[in-house]
Amino acid sequence: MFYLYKLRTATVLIVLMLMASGCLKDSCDVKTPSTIYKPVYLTLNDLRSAIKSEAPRNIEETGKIYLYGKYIFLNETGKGLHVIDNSNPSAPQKISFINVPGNLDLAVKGNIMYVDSYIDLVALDITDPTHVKETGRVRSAYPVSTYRYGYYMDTASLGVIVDFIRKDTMLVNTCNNPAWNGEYMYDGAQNVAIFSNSAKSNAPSATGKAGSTARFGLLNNYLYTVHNWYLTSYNIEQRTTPVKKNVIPVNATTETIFPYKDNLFLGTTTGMLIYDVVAPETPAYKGMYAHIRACDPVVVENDRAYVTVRGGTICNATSVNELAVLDVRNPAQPIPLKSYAMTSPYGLGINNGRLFICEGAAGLRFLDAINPVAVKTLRLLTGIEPYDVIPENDHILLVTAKDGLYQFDYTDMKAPKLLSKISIAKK
Amino acid sequence: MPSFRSICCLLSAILLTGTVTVAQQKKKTGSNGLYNINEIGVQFSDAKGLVLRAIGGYHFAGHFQVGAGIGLDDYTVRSVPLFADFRYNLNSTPNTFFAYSGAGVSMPWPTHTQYPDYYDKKPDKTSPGLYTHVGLGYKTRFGQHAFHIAAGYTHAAVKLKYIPWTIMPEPAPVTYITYEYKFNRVSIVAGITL
Repeated sequence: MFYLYKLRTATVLIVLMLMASGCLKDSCDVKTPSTIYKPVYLTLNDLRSAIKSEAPRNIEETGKIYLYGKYIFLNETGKGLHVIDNSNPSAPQKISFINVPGNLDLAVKGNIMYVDSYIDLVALDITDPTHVKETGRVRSAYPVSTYRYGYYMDTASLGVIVDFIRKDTMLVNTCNNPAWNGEYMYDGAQNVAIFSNSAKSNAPSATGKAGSTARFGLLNNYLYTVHNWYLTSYNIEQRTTPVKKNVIPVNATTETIFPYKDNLFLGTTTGMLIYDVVAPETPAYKGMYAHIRACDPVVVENDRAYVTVRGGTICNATSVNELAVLDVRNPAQPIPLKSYAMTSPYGLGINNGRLFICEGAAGLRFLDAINPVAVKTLRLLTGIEPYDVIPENDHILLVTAKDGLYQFDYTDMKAPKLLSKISIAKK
Repeated sequence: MPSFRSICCLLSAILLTGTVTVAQQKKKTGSNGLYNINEIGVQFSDAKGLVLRAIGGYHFAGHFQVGAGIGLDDYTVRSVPLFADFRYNLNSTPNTFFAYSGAGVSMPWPTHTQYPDYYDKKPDKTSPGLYTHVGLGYKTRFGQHAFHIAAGYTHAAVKLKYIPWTIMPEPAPVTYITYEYKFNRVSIVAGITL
């Protein structure tokens, strides 16, 4: 009997344990070291009251350059413009900084400078470059920016995204969760994105703003700007108050613009597009050279267009790096003349047949382009990593490079002389 | 699937433990001495699987058994537990209820069909986790040996780690994506004490 009692007890115990198994759960969590990027907003009121001249500051990241009389305006990407007194090119001096939040580009006509400031186009009186004055503003001139990985800039209620706060975290998800791709997650309610550390190490960037150095172009009394898939015309007859006229869709992502005679040459991700401005407020499409998918500026001289093509970019995933020369006497039908192999071409400039090509880490190339079908390199200057160049006068060359702003005397193209360098401050 | 050699190696370790233990001293009912327990059973929770355990130790004071064990835990992610084991016989009689508990580490040993859904990759690294078990059983003696059945709770934790694929062409610091498993199961085993 006692034996049966024990057996019964054991059996009940086992049955109870089997029933208890329904209360137990296994778990599997996948943990991914990640980084949260949370956007920082600047209200529209603060944005539109921020432009002012300040004390000179260190150069941290060079952008577009412009020579205005004895002054150099050097864009500090996304922040504003350094004003540099270049009375003596051998010893340029930073004299002030114009704070323009979100500034990427500029164009100058007379004493009025046109700059972008995130979503606005602003006109500045630079008669006294050390004390600029805002004379006009086109509000919301540009579409609201979208960012990679789902960020949405809630301009109307929050303003513009000016920065991201980065915070390390551990992203925890249920194993094999089909709703998560394992590399990043976007929280729409918080408007934050969380990236696994292996997937992304830099803050998200706005789409359509990679690699451009010439998005503004002036022609007669009009300013033309390119932004993403649009070409916008502004009437600047009253220079101090630009008036937005038309926004023309372009069937490609536009990166650069170069006005020439009555035409606009647009560098896009699918080819070089040519628009005429016979009706200046409404540029009309005339032709395309599809072979070139250009992220870099097009320059035109004597009806010859010079275009650099750089491989391994969002514009051109191939390994082709070259300078293409085209006959554009008939802009509707550009005729390729010749292509020249390059190393890694970025921006370029031309002055009276003297061509300058920035080759990034490969250096700065000085070329004889008097004969467009027989362009030859006179000098490849190494030890410099240039990205943009402007030839001014007949002998001064301004170059923005990775480590600063250079000035060369190119009187002798085979032996250019370094006049000065303003270094970028190390972070 | 583990190699045939691996399975033979593990089974040999289990059986050798018993052989060596039995060879040491002949046990008498209620006397002190070495013992070997071999168990086989099943485990239930969200999944189910087989468990094998071999324990060797010392029996003393009529009630207590202290030993160390090794096992094969064939569950969602297969593992090899290594643990300390404690048993208490409620009575000194030949047939008695007993309580058991143990703790140690669970060494992951997944088969390729058990890899997480991460690009069909084998884990770059594995990490052991906690192993514990506790329960009640009933043993009945026959001659110098005993047979028992027991039921209880078993916990095992393991980690499988991957160096992640990068989706951007830029250099990234080496970090691991970690799959952390925690298994909480009811176990029912039958065993023999030699």
